[in-house]
Amino acid sequence: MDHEFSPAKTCKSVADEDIITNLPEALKDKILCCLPIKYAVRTCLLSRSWRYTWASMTELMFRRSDFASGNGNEKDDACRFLKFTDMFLSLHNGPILKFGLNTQGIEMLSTGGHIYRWMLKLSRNGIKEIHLRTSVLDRYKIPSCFFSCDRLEHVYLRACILTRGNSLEDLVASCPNLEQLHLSKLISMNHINIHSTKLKMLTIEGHFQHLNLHTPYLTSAVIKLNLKPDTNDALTARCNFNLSQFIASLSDVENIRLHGRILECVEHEFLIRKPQKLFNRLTDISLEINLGNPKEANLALFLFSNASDLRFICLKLNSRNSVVPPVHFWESIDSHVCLFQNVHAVGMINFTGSFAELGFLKLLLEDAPVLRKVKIRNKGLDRNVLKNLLKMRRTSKEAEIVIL
Amino acid sequence: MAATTADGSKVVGGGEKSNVDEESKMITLFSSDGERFEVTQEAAAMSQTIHHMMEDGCVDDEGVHLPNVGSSILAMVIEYCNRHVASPDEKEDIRSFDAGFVNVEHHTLFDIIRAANYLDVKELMDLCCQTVADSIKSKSVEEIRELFGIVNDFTPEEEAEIRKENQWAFE
Repeated sequence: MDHEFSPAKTCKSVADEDIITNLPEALKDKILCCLPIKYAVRTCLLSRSWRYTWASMTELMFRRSDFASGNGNEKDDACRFLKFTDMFLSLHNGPILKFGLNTQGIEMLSTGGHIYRWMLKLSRNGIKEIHLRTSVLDRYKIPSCFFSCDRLEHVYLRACILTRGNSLEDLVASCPNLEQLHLSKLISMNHINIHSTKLKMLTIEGHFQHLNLHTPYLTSAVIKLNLKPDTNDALTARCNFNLSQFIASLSDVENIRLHGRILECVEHEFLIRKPQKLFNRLTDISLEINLGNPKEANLALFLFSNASDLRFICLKLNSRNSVVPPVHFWESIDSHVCLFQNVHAVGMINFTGSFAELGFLKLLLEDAPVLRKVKIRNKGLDRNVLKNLLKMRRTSKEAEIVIL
Repeated sequence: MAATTADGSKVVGGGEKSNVDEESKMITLFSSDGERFEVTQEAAAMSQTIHHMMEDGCVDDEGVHLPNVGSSILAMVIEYCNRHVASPDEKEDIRSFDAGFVNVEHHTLFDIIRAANYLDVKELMDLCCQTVADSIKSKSVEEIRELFGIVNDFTPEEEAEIRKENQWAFE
């Protein structure tokens, strides 16, 4: 196959005839949308056909960092960015399907009304996807005009804050087509109630004390609960979650990720009933877990026993709320029950070689018939522990243990 | 696992039987100039267009005719799909493959974009459009015109007017 080299500047690559202007509008749009937005607008000078091509771009990404002049004048840069975005949106003509704002400047989202004007424009232009990313120093409340963007399918909010009268419940209710909701670095002082049968992907990461989720058709569920470092136990921090019912309701889920302190909030009761093959499509599990804590270990076992198609497991290990003396939880699992029949790859991070961790590893290696790789990231293991680890019996001949 | 023909003169693997061979799960594709390509169903399914045809049962014994895609471009698209289906987890290798893949003349790149659009291969579209965008990014207006053969049909007065109209974009 001949791949001819066309370098950027050295060779004068002059095309004999116009190869780009006659591309279908949708393709030109796509190319423009791949450009930093400033450069996309400048195509207005190329030729008459290109004069307003930029003005009908369907996917807009405004990045504050693209406007850094490098002369250290933050306020100046912020001004130019605001002016650019204002002008662009006022001259833009046509549907806007995706809008992204990536900023870290102070006052960007709170004062001056800019974000409200922009959201208003978007709500009038059929917006489907919104990404608002700011730094944790510039937290913002969800503007209420979000609630009139009824075509929204995908919302990504970083560093927003939920206070009284500003609820996710309303957002979800006013967007009947919402399929993806991602909240990162969230602070919520309020109740979080999310009821949706359309929602497919949900991420909630941040500080919150209440979570009531009814989203049974999720394919991806990611929850990470951050607590103040001196908090001992999530339950004593007056957290109120319906976590157990939520997890048990996710029959279509393909990927579950539970990190931070969230596993400390699981209630025992629901685990007593054991439905068969609950999670038929679950292939990926990632947990931040203390394998030696019976409550957390029970949840992990519940997931493993009910996910017959499980392929990838990632465990971020800790030893918070450990029980003394350690219990023989993983050793006492009935070896006839094949928990890991399709598991290919397992990662264990912060492995310390504790009793429970070794017990789990032993069970995994003995049980998983198609296991290929176990990656263990450790914080300095005793040589004897390492030796014994590597000597553990492996049912899968191809199982490889990689210690990092 | 995938067998492709660059020149289409030989059929690898399939033979005279039905071209949707259940056992090796192959499918035949015909380019606009009649050349024949055997591809695994898995690689072909990277094209949402073909994937939907397979799902809807629209693929007959003959295979799929693609009147909008010439043989040389189809061969490249198939090469891309095969590579991406083969080892999707090896990110480094795939990245360097992609970089080499788009290292072609612009008019070829646009042909691939059109084909990827018709066949609805999202990853290939994204890759090629980003490549075109990257080649525009650092250039002046005049350089961009040269690169793509765009004829400047503005009068000097028009140009000046546009610069004023969009001054905010040039600050």
